[in-house]
Amino acid sequence: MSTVGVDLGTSGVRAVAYDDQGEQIVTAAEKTSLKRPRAGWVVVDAEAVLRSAESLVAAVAAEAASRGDQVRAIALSSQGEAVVPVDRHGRALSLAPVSMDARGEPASRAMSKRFGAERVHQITGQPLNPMFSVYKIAAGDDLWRPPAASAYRALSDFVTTRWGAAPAIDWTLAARTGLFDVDAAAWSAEMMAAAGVDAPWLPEVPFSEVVPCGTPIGTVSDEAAERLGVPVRTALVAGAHDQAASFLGAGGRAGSVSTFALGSSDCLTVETTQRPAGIAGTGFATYPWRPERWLTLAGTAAGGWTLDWYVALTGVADAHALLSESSPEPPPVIVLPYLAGSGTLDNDPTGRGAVIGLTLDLSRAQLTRAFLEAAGYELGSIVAAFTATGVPVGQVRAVGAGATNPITLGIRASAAGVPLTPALGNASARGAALLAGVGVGLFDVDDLPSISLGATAHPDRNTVDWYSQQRQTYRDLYRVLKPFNQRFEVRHPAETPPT
Amino acid sequence: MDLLLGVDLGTTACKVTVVASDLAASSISSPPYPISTPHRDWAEQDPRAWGEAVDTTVQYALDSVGAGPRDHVTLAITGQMHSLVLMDGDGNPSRPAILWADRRATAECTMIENRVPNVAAITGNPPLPAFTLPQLLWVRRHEPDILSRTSNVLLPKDYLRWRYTGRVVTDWTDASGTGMLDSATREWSTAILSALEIDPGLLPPVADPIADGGAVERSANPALQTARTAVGVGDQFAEALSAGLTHAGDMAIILGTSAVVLGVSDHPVPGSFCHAQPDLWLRLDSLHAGGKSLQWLRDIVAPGESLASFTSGAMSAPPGARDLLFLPFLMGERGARGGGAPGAFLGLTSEHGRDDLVRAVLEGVAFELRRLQQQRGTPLPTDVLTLKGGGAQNELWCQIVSGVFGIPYRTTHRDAAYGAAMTAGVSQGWWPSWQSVPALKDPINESGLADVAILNDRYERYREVVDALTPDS
Repeated sequence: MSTVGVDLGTSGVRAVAYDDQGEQIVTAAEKTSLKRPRAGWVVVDAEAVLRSAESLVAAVAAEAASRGDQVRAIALSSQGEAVVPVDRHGRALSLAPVSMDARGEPASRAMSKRFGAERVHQITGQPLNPMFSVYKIAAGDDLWRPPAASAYRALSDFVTTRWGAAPAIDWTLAARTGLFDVDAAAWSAEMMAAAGVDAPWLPEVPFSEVVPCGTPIGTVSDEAAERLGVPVRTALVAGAHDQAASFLGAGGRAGSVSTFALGSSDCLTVETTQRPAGIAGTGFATYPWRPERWLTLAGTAAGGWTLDWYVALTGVADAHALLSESSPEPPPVIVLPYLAGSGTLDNDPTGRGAVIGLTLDLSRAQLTRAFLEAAGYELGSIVAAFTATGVPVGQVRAVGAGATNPITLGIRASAAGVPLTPALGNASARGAALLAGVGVGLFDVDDLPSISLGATAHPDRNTVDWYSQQRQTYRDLYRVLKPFNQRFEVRHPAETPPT
Repeated sequence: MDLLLGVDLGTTACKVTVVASDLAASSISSPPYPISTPHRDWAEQDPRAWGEAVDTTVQYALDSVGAGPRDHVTLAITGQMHSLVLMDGDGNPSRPAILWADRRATAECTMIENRVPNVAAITGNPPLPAFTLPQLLWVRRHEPDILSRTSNVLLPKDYLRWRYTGRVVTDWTDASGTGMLDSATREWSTAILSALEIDPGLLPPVADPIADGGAVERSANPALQTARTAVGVGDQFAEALSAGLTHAGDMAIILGTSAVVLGVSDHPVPGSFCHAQPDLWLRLDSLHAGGKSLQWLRDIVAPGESLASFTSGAMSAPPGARDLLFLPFLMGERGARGGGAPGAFLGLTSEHGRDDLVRAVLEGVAFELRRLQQQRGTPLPTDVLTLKGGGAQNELWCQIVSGVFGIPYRTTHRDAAYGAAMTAGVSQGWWPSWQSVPALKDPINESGLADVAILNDRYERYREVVDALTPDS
């Protein structure tokens, strides 16, 4: 018996089958291509994502079945914020704007004036930011309005409804639309009404029903079963936002284990038993995934992006080789990695990157190390902020492709002053598969199977004092440069070239 | 025929320019000679290696124009300033020359400031390890035997001229870079010499650069048998003369490995040295990492690529480099590393690419030169800014500098060796005064002025952010 987790990421789709112990059986992945049909727009073809997911599920299901592990349930882990209008058959009417798509800027500015960022954060648990679905919807053309549009779907419920599930979206992905009341665990009438001032049609087009992660939402239809290569009536279960799924997949636990995802934007995810207080004014996002189980996300707008940018600048084809050649000693140079606005700790879209302390004898290996250290400084600052608000972070498990390189992980750990333990495997797909198992009673949500861990990267004892000072300098430099950066025109992450 | 022979003794090689009476010039450079660094922060050269390089290169240069015994050659030498040459009673160097790039004499600078608190007011400049006086004090303290064998303290060009003429003399431009010259009287400062117990007999007499430096008496070169010499000037002054800086308010910028603003004043101002003309002073404001900033970025981003190819794409980056600023303090300017504003790129976004970074470096160096000029109060020319050095071959860089200063520019191929030849010419009465030396005919270019507004705006931001990042501001 197996469960399948499907990860709908920004750069690709991955399906992974796991056995009833949570061990990986087989994985298959495909790249997705983002399109930029006009300045500021970044879209994905939801129908292509669906086809990709189907062929990948079919591939892993066949392999699992051949080993005697018939697929019993499927759940999705998905990028947040992407949204698509659908017709009454659930078919996409438009290309789906993804998180980076900037078309929501005017609506988000209007919301800020009308409602205030604080109120938005209070209701939705998310910072006021044009990336959320609601602001993209407000910028939509006629295909986004009734009668053409019969519903709005995130990528997850777009896919699961096409496979036979009822229109249902889990709490975490609902939160990433920007319209979910996290305390009431329901769509927010207040936000709908406020957004409806600019987009009067918005309240008329329904979203899917909201359910906790791991809730059964239907079964695979006869028609879909054929395409997916799974038994008819295989269970479909509500999955989670990718950061939440990574947290679950990597064994996150309130008070003892948090996760640090090394992706396009690095993100620390921390669990609490109630909504955390004291994070107002930050860009931290918080949502419940089950009753009395809350996750708070703190990220850097440009974590991996900044590294990708640096790698592209050097023209070196092999990023792994470049990063692995980082100097073994800390260099006297500091990078502020805010190439697409500040991190969520400061929630400052005017934030800009900087490389400070350049000298003629600085080598490329030293500069490379400085770019990696920046991710560590940011993590160190975020962990300190959590600790200051009384939220214990516990052990930090690193997930994502960047977590498997012991050299770069060690540099981040030293710079952060935080030990980092790599969780091996595809944490987000695994989290979804575990939720699928929860939905069919295979796993107990309070006792999920553990994940394999790599060797912990501990902060180098010889550089503890140095990095403690550097983290302070890092924060000081941000504050010194802030008034200068604020005078520049804001350049939204959407203008980031494809990475 | 009458020929002017200008010799420029650089830090890495020497260059010789022959100028004929129709002002046609031909130049030739020597192979590089080595710098030895026996210890960290030391930089030394063997003066005899200079002599051999100069002899050979002069020979080639004279041969190349067919000069012979019947021609009248006037020789003027210019060369690296500040560097200390010690000569014993037999005319041999007592030790290797200590170069201007040497950093050993820091304690001696402190000692000078303690013993002569008004030293900067006398000489125009605070003591720096690059200067001759601290180097001399270092030798006295660490190598007393060598100093006791020394008969003459010389500057590089004066040593080379002595090799030809046997006459010991220096000029006031080079002397003003030793840290011992009274900048107002243009004589050795008795206050400084007595406070530091320096024997004035070790120092050469100070002369006007266009004074007669003596007849060439010790050369095997047939074309030099009847040659005369002029005393000559230090290399920065030769650069200034070749750029036509002969009036108060004239300004030139050298875009070399380091970048230097040369500005002329009609009175001794802080930070100035004595100009070749008796009634003018020359300010030298240097940014150590000028062209070197560009090489540094190339070495990080695209090691192995030619500088020309690396910088060519910057033409396509917009003025202001998409709000990216570069702070060119790659040598830890203004004190020890970290003591002043740091070298930095500021305002980075993911839309910046290599071309923006290159453009930001070109702009950042120009901004810093402007800041230096403003901070020091160097008067700006109204008509034209003369740009020289290797960087002046980069049209974009010239346009940026011109735009940042808001003044049209011109470039010239005349260099320090040409400036030395002109010293010889004025000395021989080819021209009755410095002002009557034929002016530069290079065209004046206004193409950089289109970007004055945006560059001014960025310059203001640059200035503010440099202040904000300077710890003691």
